[in-house]
Amino acid sequence: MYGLALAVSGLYLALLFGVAYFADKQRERGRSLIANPYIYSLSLAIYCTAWTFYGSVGRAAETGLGFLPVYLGPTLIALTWWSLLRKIVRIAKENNLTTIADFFSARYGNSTALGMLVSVMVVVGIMPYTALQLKAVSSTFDVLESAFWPPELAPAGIAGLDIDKAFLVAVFMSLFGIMFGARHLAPSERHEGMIAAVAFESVVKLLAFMSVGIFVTFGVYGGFGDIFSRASEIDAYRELFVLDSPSAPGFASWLSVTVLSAAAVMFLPRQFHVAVVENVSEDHVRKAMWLFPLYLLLINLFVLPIAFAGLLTFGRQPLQSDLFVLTLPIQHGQPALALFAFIGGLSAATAMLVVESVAVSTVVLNNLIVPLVVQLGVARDVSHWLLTGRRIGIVAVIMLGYLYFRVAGTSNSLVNLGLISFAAAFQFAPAILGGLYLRWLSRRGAILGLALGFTVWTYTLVLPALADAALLPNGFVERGLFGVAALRPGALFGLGGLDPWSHALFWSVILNLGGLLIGSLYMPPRDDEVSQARKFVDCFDAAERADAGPPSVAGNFSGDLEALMARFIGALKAADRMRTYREQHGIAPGAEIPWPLHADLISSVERELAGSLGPASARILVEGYVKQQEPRMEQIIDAFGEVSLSLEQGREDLGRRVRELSILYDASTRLSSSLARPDIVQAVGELVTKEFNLDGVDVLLADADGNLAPQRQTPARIDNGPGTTARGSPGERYPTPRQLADSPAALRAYRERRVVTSQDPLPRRLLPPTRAAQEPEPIRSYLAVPIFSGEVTLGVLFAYSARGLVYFSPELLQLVQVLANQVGSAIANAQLYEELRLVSLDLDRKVRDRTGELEHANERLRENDRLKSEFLSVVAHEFRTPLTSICSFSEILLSYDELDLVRMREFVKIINDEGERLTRLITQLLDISRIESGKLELALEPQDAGDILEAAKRIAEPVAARGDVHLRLDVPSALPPVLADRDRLIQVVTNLLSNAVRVSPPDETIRVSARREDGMVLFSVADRGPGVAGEDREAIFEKFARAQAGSRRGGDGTGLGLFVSREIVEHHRGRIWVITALGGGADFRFTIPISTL
Amino acid sequence: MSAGERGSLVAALTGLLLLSYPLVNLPNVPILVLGIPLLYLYLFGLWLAGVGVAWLLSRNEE
Repeated sequence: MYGLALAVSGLYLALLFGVAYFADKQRERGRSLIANPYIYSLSLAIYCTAWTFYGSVGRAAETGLGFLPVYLGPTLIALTWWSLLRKIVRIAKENNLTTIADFFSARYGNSTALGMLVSVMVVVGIMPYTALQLKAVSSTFDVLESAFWPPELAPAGIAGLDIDKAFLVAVFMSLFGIMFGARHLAPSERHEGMIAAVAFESVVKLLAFMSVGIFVTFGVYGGFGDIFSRASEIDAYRELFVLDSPSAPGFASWLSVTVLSAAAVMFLPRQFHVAVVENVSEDHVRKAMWLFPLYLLLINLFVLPIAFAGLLTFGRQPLQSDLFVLTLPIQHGQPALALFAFIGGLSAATAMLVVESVAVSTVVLNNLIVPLVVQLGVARDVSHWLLTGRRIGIVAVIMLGYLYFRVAGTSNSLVNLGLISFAAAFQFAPAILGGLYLRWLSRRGAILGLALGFTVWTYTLVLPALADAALLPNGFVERGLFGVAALRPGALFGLGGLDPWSHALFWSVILNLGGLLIGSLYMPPRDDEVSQARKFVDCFDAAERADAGPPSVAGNFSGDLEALMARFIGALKAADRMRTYREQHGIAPGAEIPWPLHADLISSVERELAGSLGPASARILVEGYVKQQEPRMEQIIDAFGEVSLSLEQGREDLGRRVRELSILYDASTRLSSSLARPDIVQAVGELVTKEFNLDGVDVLLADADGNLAPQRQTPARIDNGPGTTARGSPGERYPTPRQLADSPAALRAYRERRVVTSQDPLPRRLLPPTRAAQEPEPIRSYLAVPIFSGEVTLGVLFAYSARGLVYFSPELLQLVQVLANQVGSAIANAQLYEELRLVSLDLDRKVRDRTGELEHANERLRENDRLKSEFLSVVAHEFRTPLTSICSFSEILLSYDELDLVRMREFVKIINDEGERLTRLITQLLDISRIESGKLELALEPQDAGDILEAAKRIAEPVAARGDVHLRLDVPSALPPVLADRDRLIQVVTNLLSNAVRVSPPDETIRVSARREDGMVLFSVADRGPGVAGEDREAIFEKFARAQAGSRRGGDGTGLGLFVSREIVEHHRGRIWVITALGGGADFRFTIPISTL
Repeated sequence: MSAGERGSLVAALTGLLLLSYPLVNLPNVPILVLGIPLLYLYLFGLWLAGVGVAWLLSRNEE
């Protein structure tokens, strides 16, 4: 019979290969067979393995509804697929993830360690499941053998050949897996042939199972009602109609298996593979979310009827009920139907084995082997080696399952084997589902959770199973590890009374989920994890998809990158990828790739490599390559570092940044618009109190001696509004600026040029304790920030809060320091402005002074001009009087022929006098002109004063005699010589004498004297005339001056004599004045310095 | 969360509730209705309803 079963199996597998080959060919022609939602849904039905095909009936026969949660769980989770599965598909495609381990590794910062952990879990976790398939297939061989070739008829030769059927199946499956799953390397390329075969098998197994079901239900029995009615007559079987009966599962187990199954349908490696990696279009998820549950419903519809039919037919036989699907048709004479059912079971098993082995070998290769290869730094082309590695991996996975089957599989029913794997898959759920929605989950949290979950799984499920198979001593299961009852695997820490699944699920949730959450809280994600987390969580959010990505590279490195790819995916494919990239971006072959695309190119190379090697290894390779280039591209990396930093900061961070920037902007506009210090202080105060919720701000500036000086006298309290003013009066509660300036905090900030706050460990107290010591300290939070302008410390910006303790974050301190720097430059500006203003004021004053002087000079010039005109008119007048006399008397002389001699003489005398007067006038005018033009030159020599008076007396004698006036000279004998110009001095005295003679009444005496006085010689000419009125005593020395009373003026005074005299005396550094003489009259006096020669 | 996401979450949680103790205990009696155990009818009916809801949800997410 082996011959028949093997032949049928061989033919069927050949048919499958034909289907797969056809699908691959169609794909090459661009007509994909699998690119539709129906094939996708059917491929998901790989969930129904030999376990479903045989095990469900077995479990139904033993426990009634116990098989059902395995399908109800997937039905429930399928309801959420449009958001959940689609999100996973989107992420996997964007990051070119090809296994569930890659997904972990990529989500949690491309962690190699996490990838390795998940890989080990996957390999160990699916071992029971693969064992189950081998067990199912090999036992069905036996059943078929007995049906077609009863043992008594069996040829001795064949029966004697003790072929290990399970091994044979394993070899077949390995070959199949290699042919469809590892013909070429990149697993990111979908295996269309394999999927087509899987879908085909799904149809076959559904048809086979339903055929048996319909035959049994309607062929053997009279429909559903008939079977159930007959079963209900037997009490033991009626128990199977309900839950929580002695033979049916309890509610806890019912719910636990539902939950485990919901996780398994998504996270078993082969499910992840068909649902995510092999997905052609996200939109296919839409149909699959109801088609797949419908498929499950249909394939399970006849499980219960077949089970009850089997029970009714064969009775309860432990471990035999698993095979009712085969034995019932055989029993009822339908070996062909049994053969069809066998094909169906074979389909279920092969599909599972092939896809599982392909998926798991990729997991192992990407996360265990390649990281090692990459770490070792293999430089040559390893692409071929990787393909071989994958093939070896496929064989290894199946053989491990075979090993498990040989070692432990015989004693466990199919269902138990399968559920152990389900529980393993469940361990992935917390970190994946959480990782899709919670950004703060960290790599270390995930590792902790997984490790704990894996430990729970091993200890509570795997070890008892091994003990059950007598591979381990049974003692620890019954009595607990080391005899401690609390460590019994089935009742950990005394949690008894539960079925193994509920028990394992409980501890998994507690430890795995708990480890993930608490681990993430205490070991938060690092920077590189945050960007990956963002990529995953926000994958639907287009705005969030800005990816820092790998750093860019300067220069043309496409050749290097191609070589890098070639080492892992082969030269041909690498060249093809590079060509495609160039085509997509419209770059001619051979042309340089413009540098803005470099980052993008590196990302796509990384994605490409991730498809073959897993994301962790791809990231290591690309980073290693980029690091090589580093010296050439330092600048660009720095810029990118900035970008990724800011991206990694949360939204709150960004919001805060924006606020800080707007504060600084506000500050700079306000500060740059104020040029006076008080304005700056005011502006800063308003800004800080408003933005930072502080109560007061003062700017303390250093004076020339380096002491801090407050900028105002009253406390700088600026009310924020209601609620902040309620406490005490400002004078009591707030320190004065003077106190602030003297506080140790301000001084330290100024001297040590650093920020000092109330958070510093050193003295916290702002002010020295006052007399009112019991009064609580008003200011408990403050910050003193040095104000810099260039290298100079200008002073301190002091801000404080009167409302208790305030925490100043480092960011806030930074911000305030920046603000203080702005204040610094604003104050420096204000200082410059002030200096400029002073200079300009000074200049202004000088200009005004100079203008005044000029105006004054101008005024004087005008006055001089006026005086000159006046002078001219006076001179002309003075000339006209004598000329008029001369003319009229000479006319008389001419017109009268006969005139007596006496009269004639009289007239001529008048003419002569007037002529002399004119001459005198002219002489004096010449003197004046000389004086005024500064040309009066004195020949200064020592002169004897008496001598000079004598000479002057001699000149004046004739005139005096004529007026009958006596001259008396009175000079002491021991008079020192004076320094004078003899002629000029004589002129002065003569002048004074002639004036005196003119005003003296007849017979009077004019006294002329000289005496020594104060280093000078005082000359005096005193007459007995009418004298000079007090108000005229200055004026008579002016040009053409006349005493008001006119009394001093004689007929022949020119009005210039005294003026000339004064000028001459003053040129001698002497002084001339007039006083009233003794007994009336005028006493003209002047001084001349004594000669020192 | 979109309307579809909300709907699918509500549907899945409601399904879980209907499958859990104590609600599942209501039809948990060994009697036959139309020749079929009541609990079987309840569970398969629920399953079919689940498929229907999934179909509706998939249509809503156009």
